[in-house]
Amino acid sequence: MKGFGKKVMALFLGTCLLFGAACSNGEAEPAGNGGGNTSAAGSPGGAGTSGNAGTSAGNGGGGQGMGRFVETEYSLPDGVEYMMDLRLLEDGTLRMAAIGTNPLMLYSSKDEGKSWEPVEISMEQLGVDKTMIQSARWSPSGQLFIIYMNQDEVMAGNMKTYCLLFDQKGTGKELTIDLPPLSSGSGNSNRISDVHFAPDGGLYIVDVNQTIYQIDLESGKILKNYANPDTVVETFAVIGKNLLVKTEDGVEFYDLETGKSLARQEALNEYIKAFDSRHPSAADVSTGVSDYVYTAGKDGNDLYFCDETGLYHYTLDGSVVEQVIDGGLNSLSSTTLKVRGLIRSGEEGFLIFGTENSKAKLIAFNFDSSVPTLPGTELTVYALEDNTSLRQAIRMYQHDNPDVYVTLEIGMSGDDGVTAADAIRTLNTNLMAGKGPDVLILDGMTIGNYVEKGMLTDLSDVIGEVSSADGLFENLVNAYQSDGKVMAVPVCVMLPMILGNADGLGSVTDLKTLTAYVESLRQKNPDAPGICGTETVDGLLRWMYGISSAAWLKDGNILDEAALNEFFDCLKRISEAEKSQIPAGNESIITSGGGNLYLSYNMDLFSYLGGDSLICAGQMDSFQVFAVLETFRSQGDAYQSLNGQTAGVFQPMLTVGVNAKGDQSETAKGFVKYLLGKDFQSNENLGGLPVNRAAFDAGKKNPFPSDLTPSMSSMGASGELKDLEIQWPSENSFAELQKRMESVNIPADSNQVIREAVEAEAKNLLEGGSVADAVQNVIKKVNLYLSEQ
Amino acid sequence: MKRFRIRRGQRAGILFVLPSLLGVAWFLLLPFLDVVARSFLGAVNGEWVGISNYQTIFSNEAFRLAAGNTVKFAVVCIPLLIVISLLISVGLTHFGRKLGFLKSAFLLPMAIPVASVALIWRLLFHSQGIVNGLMEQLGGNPVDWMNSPAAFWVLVLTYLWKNVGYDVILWMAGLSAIPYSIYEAAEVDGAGSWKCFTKITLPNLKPTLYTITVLSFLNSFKVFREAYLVGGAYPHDSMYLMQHLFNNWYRDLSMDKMAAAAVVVAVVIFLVMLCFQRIWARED
Repeated sequence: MKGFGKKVMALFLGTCLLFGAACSNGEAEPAGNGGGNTSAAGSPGGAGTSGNAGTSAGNGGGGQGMGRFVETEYSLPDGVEYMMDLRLLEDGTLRMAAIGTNPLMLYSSKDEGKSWEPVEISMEQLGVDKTMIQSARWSPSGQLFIIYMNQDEVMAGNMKTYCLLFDQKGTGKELTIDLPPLSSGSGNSNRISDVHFAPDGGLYIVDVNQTIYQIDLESGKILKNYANPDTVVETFAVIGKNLLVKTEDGVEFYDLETGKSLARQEALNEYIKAFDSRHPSAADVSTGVSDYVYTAGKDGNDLYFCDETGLYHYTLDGSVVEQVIDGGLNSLSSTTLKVRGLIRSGEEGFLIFGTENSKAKLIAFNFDSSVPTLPGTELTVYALEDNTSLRQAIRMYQHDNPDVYVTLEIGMSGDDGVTAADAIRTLNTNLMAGKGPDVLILDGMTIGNYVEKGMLTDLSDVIGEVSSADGLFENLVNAYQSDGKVMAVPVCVMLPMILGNADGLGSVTDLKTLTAYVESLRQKNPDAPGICGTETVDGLLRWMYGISSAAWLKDGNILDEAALNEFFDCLKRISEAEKSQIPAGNESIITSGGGNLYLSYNMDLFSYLGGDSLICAGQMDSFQVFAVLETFRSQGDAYQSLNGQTAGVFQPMLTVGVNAKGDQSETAKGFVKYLLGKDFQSNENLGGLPVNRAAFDAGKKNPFPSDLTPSMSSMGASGELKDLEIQWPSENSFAELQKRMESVNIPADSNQVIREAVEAEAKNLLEGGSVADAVQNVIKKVNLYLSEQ
Repeated sequence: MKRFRIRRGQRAGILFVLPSLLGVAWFLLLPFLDVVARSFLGAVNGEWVGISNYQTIFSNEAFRLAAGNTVKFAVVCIPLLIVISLLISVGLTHFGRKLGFLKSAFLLPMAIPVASVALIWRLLFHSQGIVNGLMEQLGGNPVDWMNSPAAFWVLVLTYLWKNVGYDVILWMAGLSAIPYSIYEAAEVDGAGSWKCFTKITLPNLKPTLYTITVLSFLNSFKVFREAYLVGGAYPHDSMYLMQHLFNNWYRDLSMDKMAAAAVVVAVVIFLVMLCFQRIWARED
């Protein structure tokens, strides 16, 4: 019996140990975690989010549910450029107030925004200059409330606002609202900043004193005020019988009747806090715009709001914020869409209005139960750092390919202390385990590793297709060609350029002559605030490294000591020429930070215009920068390609590769094809010059209206304000640019080990070290790295 | 023919050990077999390459440097650690209660987090750090500790500082297990301190010596953490260890070379352990 008991005990304990060791906490970490963050391009990261009504985020790649809000863009009447208000009236019609070709454009729709008819109001007899209209709002009953200013007063610096109220028949009258004077005592007039109508027709305004008032529509008298002297009202809305006020501390609710504040809505505020941390600029009340828009729900005590991650529902005193629409699947995640308003439409739909690329947009979201909750195909895209161009590409791609759900994984979010090395190790682990992303954005990584190890698929066929359709700059897209295969392709590029005085710039042909030129400029201009305009070692490295590093490796595996010596010597001499004007006691030009992945350095044209620098070195990354360079040239300056220790260098951006072991190889190639295609390459936020020839040709068109001349201004250290009216380049200029793009064929070196070694020694050098020591230290480190290969 | 029979008493033991054995097999043995397999395959394509990975690593300069440094480190540090910790433990045992607080003090370095050690290291051994400052005050010349062959000795010092307390405790446990009656008998026979130490203490500490040697050897690999935090992926040549190489090969996706090197290291460690065991068994 004793022996039997022992056996039972042994078996029992053994079983417990076995199950205890085998227990885990659920599914494996998604790719990218442990070294970064996984997010759908637009999916929520906030606290308190729960399952999605109508969506099932997280099923990814094979959602079982059916039904999703589908996006439809409605066309707007001709000439509408900016919508001020959209309102669903009590009678079910939709009213719009906009500005565009006319300063005030009013429309009505009986089919939820699909078509519009103009609405006329009698304004002429009021003698109001329509161009001074600041805001127009429709009431639920069809009245129109307008805020305007007086032009003469504005010219005199008086920003006082005046109000008009139009009835349902379009007859208007002045409505005088006597606001208290400004609490700042500045002498300026108080004015209305924003206005909303409540569902019951009540009018609520907020003034510059940050006080919200209820106004009697008949008399214009103040009926109530909701003042909190310690807060700045970023935005407010009427939600049923409550007032929602968004301040820097979050969202508060007040009972409209009593004026008392309701209990703090923790779940909602948690979410908004997460949003605010992602978008600090949204809280910049000086812009008058908040990125959050709110609308009341059906029940009167619930609300909807949206941001780039989706549209959400919240019930007051609730504990969760529900995602209703996943922004990752539609235009909400667009980096260029600025949402101005949100209203409910029909039984379950929504209408969102705003602007995108300076054009008004009206987007309807209606639930379609026949559409899968999530697209059937999931594509994973990985990037070390977040990138707005990439997000825009994903959004555009998803819009054109609604059957694909793109998940963006970011290796380094910036919040979690993960370094690039950590993120790359995690990525490599996932790649080797077969769980890696389908598409890799190779910026910040040593591209050669992935190419040589066969981790990436050959993209020659994709390049061939796009080349046949649109034409590509072959020298750029084939920059990483190896053994007849192209494993990595830059989606856009930057060109190193230098701008300066026409007389002296001609002598600059390489790094040595550039250094001599910088020193001569300093000799001739001892009091100039700066020469290149880059005081920091990080800034100097960003444009010097890329144009020189390709010259350092001989036969691919031996460092050229002489070339390195020349580089550090030039770096030191240029920095000496720069810092001679730095005030005493502040001579160090070393700044903290560094470890940047990218070596892009936008040209500091403002510094050059303002006279704070005598030359401007950096990288040309857009046609707009090209236009500025051309304008400077037309005024007597000169610009040319910036050659360092190597000529013909360009900075590749958004270099993309497809995981050879990925599950969605064909879809991934389709995504790459989209990135190289004309549609994406033509968009304003590409982040570089396009490699697509058709997009390049399309970019020649002046994006500014003929009656608008863009300009830039800069006030330098001298205190003098300088302006530059920018002329769009001519066809000949574009032909020159095209030749320039066709002439470069050496991608800036992407080797992170060499760059980190050089960066570390550059800092030591500029803190007083010697060139010889810097060179030897780099050689030791890099030779060790090279000996590992 | 001998028949393998599991006796009654053995069955319960086997059942107790089985879960742990399964765990070790699943998480250690099987992955190691996978590594061995990968050492004969290409990095990513998985094609059979025979022994070319082994040929590659033995002709690789970085591997030879790292292996040499690792062996040098072990050969220098372990005897030093054993001797120093033994002397300290003998001293602590001899002085008894008077220096009892030192026992805890020697263990403190083990409790300090690696990141803190790296920070202390930087403060002390930076070119403008505390040590150079002291040296300058005493009339000496500053040394670039981290970028010169002195880096190796800094590594040795760190290892000794961190692990001496652990070994002291183990030695003291061994010392306390020696019956005092033997010393009394020796004293009666006229043996002095030195004779007692060499003829009684040391022979009785042999079991402890084996344990300490093995543990010290394994702990010598952990010094990579401090070395990496201070020196990065590419420190001075003198402190470039096998783990640095593995770390960098992993980043560069050189899994084939890594697997081959890992197998070589595992075999070497296994042989060293076998040697220790044979020596020990012979002593017994």
